[in-house]
This record gives sequence, C-alpha cells and structure tokens, in this order.
Amino acid sequence: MIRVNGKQKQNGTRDKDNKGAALLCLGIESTAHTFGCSVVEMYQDSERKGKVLSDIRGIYKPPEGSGIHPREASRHHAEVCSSVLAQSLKEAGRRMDDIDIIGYSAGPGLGPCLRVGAVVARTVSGFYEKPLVPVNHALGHIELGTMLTGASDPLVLLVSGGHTMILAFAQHRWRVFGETLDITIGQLLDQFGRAMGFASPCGGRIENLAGQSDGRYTQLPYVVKGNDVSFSGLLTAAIRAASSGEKLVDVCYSLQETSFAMLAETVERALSFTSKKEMMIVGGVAANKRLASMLDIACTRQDAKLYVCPIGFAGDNGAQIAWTALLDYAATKKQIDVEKSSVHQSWRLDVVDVGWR
Amino acid sequence: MQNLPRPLEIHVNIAITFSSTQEMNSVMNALIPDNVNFPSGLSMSIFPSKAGSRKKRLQSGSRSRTVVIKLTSTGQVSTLVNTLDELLEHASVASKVIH
Repeated sequence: MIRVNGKQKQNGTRDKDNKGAALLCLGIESTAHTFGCSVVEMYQDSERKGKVLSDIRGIYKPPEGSGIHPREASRHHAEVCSSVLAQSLKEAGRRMDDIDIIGYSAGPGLGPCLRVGAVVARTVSGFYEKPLVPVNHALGHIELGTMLTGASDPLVLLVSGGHTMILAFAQHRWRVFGETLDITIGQLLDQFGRAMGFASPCGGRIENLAGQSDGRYTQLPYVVKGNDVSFSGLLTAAIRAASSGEKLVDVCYSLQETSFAMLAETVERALSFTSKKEMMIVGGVAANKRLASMLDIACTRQDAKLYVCPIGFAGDNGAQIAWTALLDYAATKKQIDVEKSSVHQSWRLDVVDVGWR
Repeated sequence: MQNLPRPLEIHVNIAITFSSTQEMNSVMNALIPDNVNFPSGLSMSIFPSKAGSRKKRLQSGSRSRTVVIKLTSTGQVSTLVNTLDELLEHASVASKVIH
C-alpha cells in the first residue's frame, strides 16, 4: 500500500461548516490492479475548485512475467479494501459521517475487480445513508486532469493499460477523434515488457532502458489508419527484434519512438481538425517523459499549450472518481439506487452524458 | 434410444447473521445488483430470514439480523463454486467495511 498525498487537514473541522458550501466525496476506484480510496472536497461557491484531502492505494502486483489475473486482483482488493478505506478517512481527518456522497468506478474495467469496489461503495452508501454516484473511470482521468492542470477545454490523449483514445468535448459528450484498433499503448508496453521477463507495469523500465540507447533505431511497423492506431503488429515485431539479438535498449528505444510518433501524428491531426488551443495527456502512460516531449513538439506546431497530468495522479486513483462524482452530483443531483448500481465492464466514455460542462 | 444422464441438481442454502438489522440490510442490498442474470442452470434468491414465528417477532419486537441466500444449480458445478466463492467474499468485504 502506498500513501500518495501528504496530510493536508487533520483538525476535523469541516469547511462545509465554515463556508456553508463545501461538498465532501469518498471516491472508490477498483477497475484493474488498483484499489484506491480518496476523500476530495469541492467548494461550490467557486468554479470547480477542489482539493484532494487523501489518496490511498493498494496495488495488486502480478508475478514477474505475468499479466493481471482478474480474480487474483479482486482477491487482493477484497483483502485490502477495509484498511485502504480507513486510512483514506484518517489521512483526510474525516469520519464517514462527514462524507456527503460516495462515488465509485462503475466501469469500464475487469468484472471481478469492479464488483469489489461496487460492494464497498454500496455498503457504505446504504449503511450511512449517503447518495451513491456511479463514475466512468475514463471520464475520471480527464476531469481530475483538468482540475489539477487548470486546462479548460483541451483535446485529450488518454493513454493507459485500458485506454488509448483522443477525445474532444462537444455537445455534452466527449467525442472520440481517434483510438486504438486493437491493444492499448499500456498493453503494448506491458506485453513487450512481460515477454522480456519484466514485472508489470513495465512502462517505467522500458522508458529507462530506452534512455540508455545511443539512438540506434530498429525499423518497426508504423500503423496509422485514418486517425486510429494499431499496435499489435508493432508488439510482435518488437518481440521478434529483441529475440533475434538486437540490443534490448535499442529495441525499447525503437518501440517508444514508433508508438509515440503514431500517437503524436494522430494528436496533431486532431488538434488541427478541432482547432483546440489546449492539449492534455492523462492516464498511466502520461508519466512517460519522451511521450510528453513528442506531444509538446506537435502542440507547438499547432499553437496549442500542452498540459500533463501530474505524475502522482497519472495512474488509477480514488481521487479521479471522487472528483468526477462531485462534479456530477453538484451539477445534476443525480444519484443511483443501491439496488440498481450494477457495474459495466465495457462502459464507453463516448456514451456518457456530461451535465457539468 | 439411449437415456441421457440427468443433470446433477444442487441446492445450497446459506444463512449469515450480522450484528444488526441495519448491517444485514446494507450487506444484502450491496450483494443483489451483482447477482442477477445468471447463466442457465443457476439461480439465486436472497432475502432476510424470518426470525422465529410472526407472533414471537411481534411479541419481542425483534427484527431479523440474518440474511438467507439460496442457490440452485443444474449446470456446471464449477460455476456454482465460483459464484459461491465470490458471494461469500463480497459478504465478508461488506461486513469488514462497516466495522
């Protein structure tokens, strides 16, 4: 278990009492390897100002060379959930009675993992009689990213183990301006890394190895179709190159250069098409500095400003769920009955109506 | 014509007692949404137990703290076992987060 945020409030005094306007949300994240709980505060008297009071995560780590096993990950979540929840409240200096709403990741994600988080959320919602708000996990990445970076209307590149999408907001929904046709960028890096015997997640190690290369590029498949990308052939070719005696640092370098160039090309085209003047990168792969530097070049050419989600919140976390639930609840007062709060493993972001933008 | 073997019919009844009616209701409601639309050959019902006779309940004013889960399977035993496994794990998770 890791503690992400430092203690910010310990006196137990609620801003709600002092200002009459703060809403507190407990956010529960459990779409894949992370079980996270976070308490986030929203000031309703100002425009979308929020503060992350706590962010605690328990992360399932599969054996080296193996991928995430959904049932094993859910067992991990079931094991750590109560202590993660308790620590999250303690770090925020709050009790369950202080919480106004409960947000939970309702999808997309791995079924067994989603169900553990949903059970936790439904139970505390029912027991403490708090409104329950389902949150689309991908939307959570975007909304927390905009809150933390200050971006207002960005083109978004969402890159993680579960997503590779280029998105822009229009007419109450996030619209897709490009996405992967097969595996995600996170899966590309993880599956290549695991084939090399690395422990998941492998992106950090691949970035480190790529940095040690002297820039010797190995030709790999570059596949952009329309404004979509395809990584599966690239994965096969990279594994084959590493197996045939190419230096691993050079293959890692080539893998990053090829896949990130594909993303930079499609992002630049989407920037040109949408005329957005802001571009934001969110999701676990947003932590990769080489990707950010390539996107920065594309943004400069399109006269757009690049925003990068802070590394501490690039990966999955409860704060993204809590903040999005707060935005939704404050704007629409929508909540879901516990009895109807099922999870949706394939809940696409572009079908979610956004009532607060 | 050769007779096909009759599928094994398994009934599992589980009773879980919680520390209060409020806890029992919270846990029961948390379990229901994930336990619908089962594959064919598997069915489940979940409800509060009747704590003694109606007359006794009225006399003592007591309410049930026990939830009853009934599973019936005429299909794969492994499906039943996996369902049971997750169900009990979730009941345990729900109880833990309350306490």
